[in-house]
Amino acid sequence: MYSELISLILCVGLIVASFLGLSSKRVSASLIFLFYSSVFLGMIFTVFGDSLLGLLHMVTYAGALSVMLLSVILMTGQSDLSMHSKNLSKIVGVITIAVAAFAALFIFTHSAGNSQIFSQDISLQLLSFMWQFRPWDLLIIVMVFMSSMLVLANLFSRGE
Amino acid sequence: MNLITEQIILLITGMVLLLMGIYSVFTAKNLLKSVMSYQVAVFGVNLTLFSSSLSFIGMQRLLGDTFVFISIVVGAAVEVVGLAIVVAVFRKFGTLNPAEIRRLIH
Repeated sequence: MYSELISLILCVGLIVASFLGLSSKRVSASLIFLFYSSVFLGMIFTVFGDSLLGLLHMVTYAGALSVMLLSVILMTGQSDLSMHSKNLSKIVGVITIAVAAFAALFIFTHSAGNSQIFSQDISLQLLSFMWQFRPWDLLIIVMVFMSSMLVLANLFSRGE
Repeated sequence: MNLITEQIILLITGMVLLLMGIYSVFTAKNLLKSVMSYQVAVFGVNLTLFSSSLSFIGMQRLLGDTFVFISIVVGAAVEVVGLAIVVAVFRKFGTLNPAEIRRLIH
């Protein structure tokens, strides 16, 4: 029951984040919501027992492509990054960092072999060597997500 | 709630994402938003492919995961090419509005 509820919440969150990202008038806000939807989709992959795909999806879309989209937004001068309030930009930055850290924790706790409620995790068997040093993996992925989102939060506050 | 129901939930979510993305690709008034819409459509495709492989185990499940892996990589590569085209178009025309670009071409 607990896991089904989590998957349902993640699906609703994915749809809502994608809708907000597509319907937002500001491109930078769309980028933030797109980041959230990438994280949600990675978490859905992980919940259903495929942590390798979830990790790959989050690293590719929430990590690399978000930064590339941000750089293109800045290059083309579409960066309406000013949020007209320093506190609001800080709140958005903190929420984004918290979501990224929670997603990283979520992936690594669900990939420890306790996600057998859905299906057998084939990718874990194939890549079992990867999970032997879980604290280091966790530390690295949290550092990557936090640094990228800190840059994003810094850019938000720079437009004032 | 069994696996079939979860599979249906994932299928519906993927279909909604795909339709939202395709609709927004054609109606966006900014080329960057079109690229982002394409990304949402790719999310829908990935989710649909993933949900279709959920009911299998063993090598068949691994095959479905491989399809999702290929979809992720190809989607990311296509999006990067789209971003490069967006930058080139902006340098040539100075705007990202498709209607404005069409007017400047003619």
